[in-house]
Amino acid sequence: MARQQSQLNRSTSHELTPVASCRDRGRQSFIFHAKRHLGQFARLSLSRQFEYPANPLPSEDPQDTDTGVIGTHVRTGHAQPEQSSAFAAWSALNIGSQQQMWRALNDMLVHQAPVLAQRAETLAARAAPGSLELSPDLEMPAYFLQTAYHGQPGGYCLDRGGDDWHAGALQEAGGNLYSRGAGTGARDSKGQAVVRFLGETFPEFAPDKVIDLGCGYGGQTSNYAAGFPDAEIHGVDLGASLLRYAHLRAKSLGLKIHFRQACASDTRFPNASFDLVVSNILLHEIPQTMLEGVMQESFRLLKPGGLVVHQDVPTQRPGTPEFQQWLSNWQVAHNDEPFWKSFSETSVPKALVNAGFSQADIFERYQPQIDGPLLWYMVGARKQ
Amino acid sequence: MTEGAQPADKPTYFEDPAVQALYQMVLILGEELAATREQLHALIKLHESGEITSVDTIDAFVPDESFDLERADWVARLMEPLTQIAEAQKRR
Repeated sequence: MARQQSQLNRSTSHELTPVASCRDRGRQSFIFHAKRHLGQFARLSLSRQFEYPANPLPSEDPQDTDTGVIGTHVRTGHAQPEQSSAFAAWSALNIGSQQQMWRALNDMLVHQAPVLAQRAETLAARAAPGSLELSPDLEMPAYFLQTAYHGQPGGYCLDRGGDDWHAGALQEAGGNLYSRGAGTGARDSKGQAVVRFLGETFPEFAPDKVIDLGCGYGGQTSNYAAGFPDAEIHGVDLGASLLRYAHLRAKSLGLKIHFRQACASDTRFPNASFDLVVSNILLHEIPQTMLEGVMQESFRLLKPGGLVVHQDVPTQRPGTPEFQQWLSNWQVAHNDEPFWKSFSETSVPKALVNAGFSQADIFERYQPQIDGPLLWYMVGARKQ
Repeated sequence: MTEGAQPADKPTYFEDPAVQALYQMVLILGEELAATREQLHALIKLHESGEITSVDTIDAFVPDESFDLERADWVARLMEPLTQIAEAQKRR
């Protein structure tokens, strides 16, 4: 049984990890505490507006008599949080803290650019157990070129040419600070949560070949390499800068991972070439048509008996509180998450069936975070 | 090589955009003050322990947990008026 509990998480450091100066630490601590506070405010105060709407409106729709349960609160009318001054203030501070988070992290990377560039050069010269395959002529989907996910400057498609890996460094640093501000602990890891889910649900499953779709900076891919040390590990993503960083990062951690620049719906690997296909928070960042394509590619790539597991935000949970749904919509309109809402409204099991999986082989689970208060949505299937 | 995507325009939350700008200014000031507090704390602690103060020693200084509680406390005080708005709204 080649499954190990990896120790890679949000506190993992490597040779490209920037070292925060005293000023950096002060700025980032402020953003962290502001985000924590704003999150608590949303849960404890803003959410109550669904119980006590400032301006309850009579329903014009006779069918709209739902009393959707909101945590322990019951909806008593149409909540109108957008009309309240508390909502306006919270939104301004929330989006402002997000903008400042990126600025603070970007400044830290720029200040340390000479040192980090030197380390990257040393890493590049070091023999790699894994590989990096870029395709400069790869056609990028329009949505990828147009989305600055969560406000990350330049988005995931930013590529300043040459050996640039800035987008990858920003993605790792931003993901860590954002998650900690949202209440996730430093020991958390989405990839580990998937490895643990597989261990609990399919204890005999031991993949020989694993592919991580939309692997980004390679943080979760590292967890599959550590979790399945005897397996051949691959990661694909569209972003060249993300992949250059992922490759150097894996080198620094001594992990054998093969990265390829490719679309998650068209990886260019042969049919039936993987035992395990995974993705981490990919599905809510792609349009509906691409999600269908990812499911089809998952089916095509799997060997008979292989497993696919997609891990994502838990917005699809039956009975998701109305306030959580409202927060999801806020992310769409305010935090450069254009596909979050459509993902919430998509049936991933149905997309898996459409791709060729049998209904009886599909599973869904809400899996606790390794170190955090959230449940992750795990959805997948075994290919017969 | 791609220049990258730009964040989408954000909705305006207030009738007067100057109000929104003011919130941003407060956050920028808060962040700058946090950076200064961090440096000042390091400077005082290094001085108290008789260590040499330099950019390197200040950057290398790691505050203890009690300083993080102080950070959380003053950010909470900064954000307190937000809770007051919500409470006043609830009473209306």
